[in-house]
Amino acid sequence: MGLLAAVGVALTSCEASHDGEPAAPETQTTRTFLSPTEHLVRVSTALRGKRPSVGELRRVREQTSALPAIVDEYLQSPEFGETLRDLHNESLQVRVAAGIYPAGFPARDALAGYSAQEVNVAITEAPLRLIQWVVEHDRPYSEIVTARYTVADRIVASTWGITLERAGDGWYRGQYADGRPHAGILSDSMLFTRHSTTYANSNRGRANAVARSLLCYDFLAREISVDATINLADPKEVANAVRVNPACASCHQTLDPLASYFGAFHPIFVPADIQTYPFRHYLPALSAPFTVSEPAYFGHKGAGLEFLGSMIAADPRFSLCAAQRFYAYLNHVNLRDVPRARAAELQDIFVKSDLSAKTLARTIVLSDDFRYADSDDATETPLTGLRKVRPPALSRLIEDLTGFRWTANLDLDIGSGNIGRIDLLSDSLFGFEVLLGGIDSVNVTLPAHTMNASASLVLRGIASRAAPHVVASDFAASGAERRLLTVSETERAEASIRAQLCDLHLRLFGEFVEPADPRIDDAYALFDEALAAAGGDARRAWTTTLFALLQDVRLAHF
Amino acid sequence: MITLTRRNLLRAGSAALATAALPELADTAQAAAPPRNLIVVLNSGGWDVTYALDPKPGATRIDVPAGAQKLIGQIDLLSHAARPSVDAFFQRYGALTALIRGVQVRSFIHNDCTKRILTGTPSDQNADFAAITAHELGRDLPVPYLVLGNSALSGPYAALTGRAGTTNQISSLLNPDGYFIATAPYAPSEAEEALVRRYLTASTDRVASARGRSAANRKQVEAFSRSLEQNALLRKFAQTRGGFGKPDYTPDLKVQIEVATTALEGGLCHAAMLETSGWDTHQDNSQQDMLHENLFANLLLLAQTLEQKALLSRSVVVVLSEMGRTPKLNAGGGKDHWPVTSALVFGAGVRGDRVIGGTDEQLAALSVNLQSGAIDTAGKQLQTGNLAAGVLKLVGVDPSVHFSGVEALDALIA
Repeated sequence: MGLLAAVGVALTSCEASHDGEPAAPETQTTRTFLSPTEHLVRVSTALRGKRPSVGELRRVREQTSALPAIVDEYLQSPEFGETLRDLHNESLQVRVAAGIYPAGFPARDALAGYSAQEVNVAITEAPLRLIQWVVEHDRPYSEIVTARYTVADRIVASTWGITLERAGDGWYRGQYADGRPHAGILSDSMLFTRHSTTYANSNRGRANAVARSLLCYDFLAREISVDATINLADPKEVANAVRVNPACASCHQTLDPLASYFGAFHPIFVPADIQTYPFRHYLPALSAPFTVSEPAYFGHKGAGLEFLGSMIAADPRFSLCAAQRFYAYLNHVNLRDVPRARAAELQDIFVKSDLSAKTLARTIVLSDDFRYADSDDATETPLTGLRKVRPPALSRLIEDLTGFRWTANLDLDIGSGNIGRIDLLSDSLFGFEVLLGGIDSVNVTLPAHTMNASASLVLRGIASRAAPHVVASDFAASGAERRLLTVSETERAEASIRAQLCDLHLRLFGEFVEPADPRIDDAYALFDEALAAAGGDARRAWTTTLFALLQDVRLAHF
Repeated sequence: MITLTRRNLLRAGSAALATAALPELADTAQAAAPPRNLIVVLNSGGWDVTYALDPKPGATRIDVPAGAQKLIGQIDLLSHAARPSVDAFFQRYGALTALIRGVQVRSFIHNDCTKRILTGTPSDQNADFAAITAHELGRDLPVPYLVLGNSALSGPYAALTGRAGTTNQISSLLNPDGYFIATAPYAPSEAEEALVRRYLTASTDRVASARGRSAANRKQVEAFSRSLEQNALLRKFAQTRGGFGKPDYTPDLKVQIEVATTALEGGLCHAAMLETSGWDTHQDNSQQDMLHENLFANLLLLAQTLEQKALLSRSVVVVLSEMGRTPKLNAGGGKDHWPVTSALVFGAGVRGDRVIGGTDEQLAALSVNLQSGAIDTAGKQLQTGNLAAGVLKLVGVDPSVHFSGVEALDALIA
């Protein structure tokens, strides 16, 4: 069995696969690309953390031109919103576990009645929710730094004192009631709780966090030789050095004016100490003592967060950085490995689309880079043809396939109230997010894109729970309500079992296979021998079979 | 014919000393960089080196803590009754210990310094030297690089890394009893396990055949395949050796020591990263007393445990902090960040009972001869890359592969 043939630059051809789609001859290029249905699986998993439906797979198989329209549907889905939040969390690093500082907001006062987990998930995700809102409502992406509103749910609104446009359980636009200017995430209290400051630091850390995440400009990437004659414990000496010492001034001449925009946010506090809500986070009186310079954006003078937001939005580095980050996230490459020429192309498309993030994502997932499957080119591309599913996506994927979501109810209070129910694949303190290769946004800030021992253990752990769950629920359900198993518990005929296994391959891996395919031979042997090992207990045999399939390399990767 | 050089004499001398003090090390005296385990103890936050490791009594430009300079062997320390474990450690293991002063980190931001001190480079995409060690010397083990703290940087060697988790949650995957997650309703029998394994191996092999032409794809498939083996070995380790212990707050160094030494002893890993925190004493620098005392009490425990498990003769321990603290106290009675730090290396193959490098009366790094370790105005400031390369050489890894053009701190090596 092979995958597909390469698409040559000079040749036009259809993509081929063993599963009946139009074939093409091998070309002279060495890169191979996914077939349309394989491409669909990758698009669906990357954008939504779910497999495509069987109907979608059949549509694309019959008509490859159906793929872009399906992509457009995916870009409207709530799951894409979750992906957007995860993407931006890798740069903003705000999503912190409930029991780890700088989270730990207590479930008391106005937030009594919620669990600590509910409170902290909501609060730490707030800046990501704003970005999601901007993209979902087809606003220009620049609105993430220029929006004259914020986005909150009831928990976040109670925490910071936000007046919402609507009542209800969801996330809505609102206004901070403390008089702060609104400039998208630049006004967000959680962003500046996560990125706190001290008197000595004077918001420089915040400035670098903003520059690094929105402009891909990291002041810390510079090599410096620190002059040891400067007494760093003496604020006056430091204040002098950052102006007159060449090594210091090289960064500070730009960093300090940028830092001046964030002086009014509470410098640093321990959320667990909050007694009453709303917590006053915006304190204009602090601006003067915590500011060391007149505000300016890379040499352009101007005051206020709204000015800052407009400057960032107009800065070509902003659109370029967004293009780079979307490309890096969707293609599983390091930011520094994003090809410059490609980033520039994407930036151009992004800008011409009036900064439509959906257009940017769409362009990326429909491109050859994204469809890349394999290569024997000696000049290695940074792309991988097999991408490991990210932890939050794996949680959605398994739940969508089996109906099982791995959670635990923690009857523990570590200072912020009872933790409550947590999603074990999306929590890093008690759960397995970091073990599975995810980040915790504080200590572990880079995802791991390869399987390792601990990730394998987690995958096994969820498979050992999801498999019996779906077997039990499917055998208890009637036809249309079943998720994976359409065969009856008493069915033993090989042809029926093989047909079921073909259906499972389609649903779990997006692969169209025939009953006589070697992949089905292996799966059938597994089931048949598992049935014998279980003394004829078909329920047990299907559980063993699904336990294996849910740990398959093709499920853990896409 | 043996060439009698000063290095040989020193090596023979140190071997004899080591033999006298620690019978366990006798066999390693003449070994030429055999593969050694590596344990890194990272003390996150920035330690004040003047509390013990880089004494500056009488310095007028440094706010020094209470204590008296004391010579233990050839190592001078700041000694105080509040920190008895510092003395105790050096008295017991000073012969195996090199104390390195004046490591220039070139930053004073925590995460930036952490990546520099661990990777020896300014990039967090590079692997730390423990991950490199695991890759080069232990990649066939179940979990070549065991991370018990938070700050490890695996870089391209993520596939070799196993994290225990902040609450040792890996133990819940190996044995849910006593942990908060419910036991899985399905656990395969031995026969079922074999069937599953056969199926997964066949599937992986098929994908490798179809998609494994590129190095990147091969790496992904090989990592997945290896993870299945590692998974099985980890579970076996848990069944036969008690695994990773109870769910616990792994930031406790005692917990980490127990898990790491058991894992090394059981052949589970080749390198381990341990971590303590709380060193960022911007207010009330006197907390460094308790921090140093706790650390060295645990280093004693670590060394003793390694000895008891017959591991010390084939292990190297590197103890460091990502930064130092300012020479002067700030207005809050604390000390702020400083880009020069110290490190301790002890164990097998270390040219012990000596100090390498130094700092001046303002805690600036002095130039050092990287071969001899002596202060040398014609030498260079000791950079994190020199330290990382030196540690790699010490554990038996050729540093030129990972640190091309970087001179290793050969002074570490007996």
